[in-house]
Amino acid sequence: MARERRVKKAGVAAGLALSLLTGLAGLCLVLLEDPALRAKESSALSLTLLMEARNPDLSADERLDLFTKARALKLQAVLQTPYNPKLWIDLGRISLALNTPEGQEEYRKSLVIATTIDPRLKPLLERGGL
Amino acid sequence: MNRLVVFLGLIVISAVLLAAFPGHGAAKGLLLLLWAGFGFVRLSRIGELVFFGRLEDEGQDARNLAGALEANRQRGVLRDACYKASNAFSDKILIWLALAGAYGLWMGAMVFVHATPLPYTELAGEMREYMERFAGVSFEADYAGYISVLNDFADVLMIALAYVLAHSYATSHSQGRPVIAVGLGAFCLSGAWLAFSGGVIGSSLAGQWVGYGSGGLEVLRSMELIPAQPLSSLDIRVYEMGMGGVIFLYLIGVYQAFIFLSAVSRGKSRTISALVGLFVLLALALADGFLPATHALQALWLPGWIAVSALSVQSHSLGQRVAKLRQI
Repeated sequence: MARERRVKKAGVAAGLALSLLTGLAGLCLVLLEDPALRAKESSALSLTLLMEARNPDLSADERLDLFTKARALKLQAVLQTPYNPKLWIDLGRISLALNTPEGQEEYRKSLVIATTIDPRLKPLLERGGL
Repeated sequence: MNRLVVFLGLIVISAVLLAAFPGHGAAKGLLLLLWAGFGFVRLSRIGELVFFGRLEDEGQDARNLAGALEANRQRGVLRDACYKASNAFSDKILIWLALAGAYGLWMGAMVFVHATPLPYTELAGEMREYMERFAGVSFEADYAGYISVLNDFADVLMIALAYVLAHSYATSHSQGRPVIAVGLGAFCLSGAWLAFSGGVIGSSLAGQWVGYGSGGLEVLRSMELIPAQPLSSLDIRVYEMGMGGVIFLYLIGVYQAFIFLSAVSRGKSRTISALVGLFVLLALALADGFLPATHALQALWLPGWIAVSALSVQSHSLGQRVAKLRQI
């Protein structure tokens, strides 16, 4: 009888703890914003600017301006979700397109980070000539 | 009875919201808060009454005899209901909760123990250096997948709490049957809707023991390392939690099946409850393996597990036995 009472007590206590945890998780979900969503938005905007930069009528300065803006947006996306290797590779590619010595260094560094996040990317990138 | 109606309403509202707004963080958060509030009130009432003997006045006027008698009767009814509900808390539910806890721990561990062991500290250092040098911002990279983990944890917590609450109602036959009916009804409707809207797909297990953590699938998909076609929840679990996660989750199902099987051939009504429970468990396993994984599937898991929980108690007829003992 005493054992049964102890089991019941443990069950009710576990249920109460479960309620508190559920409430806490609910509160977090209501209050926190998903960084991946913001990263997606920045990434999509960056892509739009890169498409615009393809326009052959643009001057070199205008194109450079678009690339700089696209890089800033991609950087924001990386800051939101830093463990997504795809974003690091995209960021590196945009930096490379800037055609500066620093851009090349940035490109190399971003690929190192991407392959550190997921080593399986290494052969994939090598195969793609990156 | 009123609280039972609130519980049944909560099941229906949850199933509808989860199906209508799949993956909507705030909607799920509000649902979790409702479940948590209801669960806390119900369980603290049971605990208070059964273990501390406290009874609150149900608002009856105790100054006249009729009022005092009515208040006394209501307290008696409430005490009986709470004692009956407390019988739901047996070794079985504790083992079930322990297994669910083990699955939750594994899920959390996958965030830190990656399939390809990452030197996280070193990596965070590299990222910081990059940002300072090329972007001119100081940056500390924390694990950004925490929302995905929280979402997965939230699903497990909601189902576990609903399972416990359904257990507490199912010890009474009059309250357990509506819970089973609503749970089964919502389960069948959600299942039919999901099967027709999403179609049925095959399941192909990739045999790795350790997964890429919650949300890892999206990254793998964006890198085209896994096929873009729709995957089942089982496949996604293998990618994100590894085979370990699958085993931990299915262990809960196997244990539940064992509870049902141990009740078969112990009388007609218990056997029927056990067989219906086994059927629901099987349907849950099939949905896991062959329905395309979407957040809307939570609309299937929740009522399904509520029905399983209530059927589990009814198949062992705890309430009936204790009620008889109390009469003696």
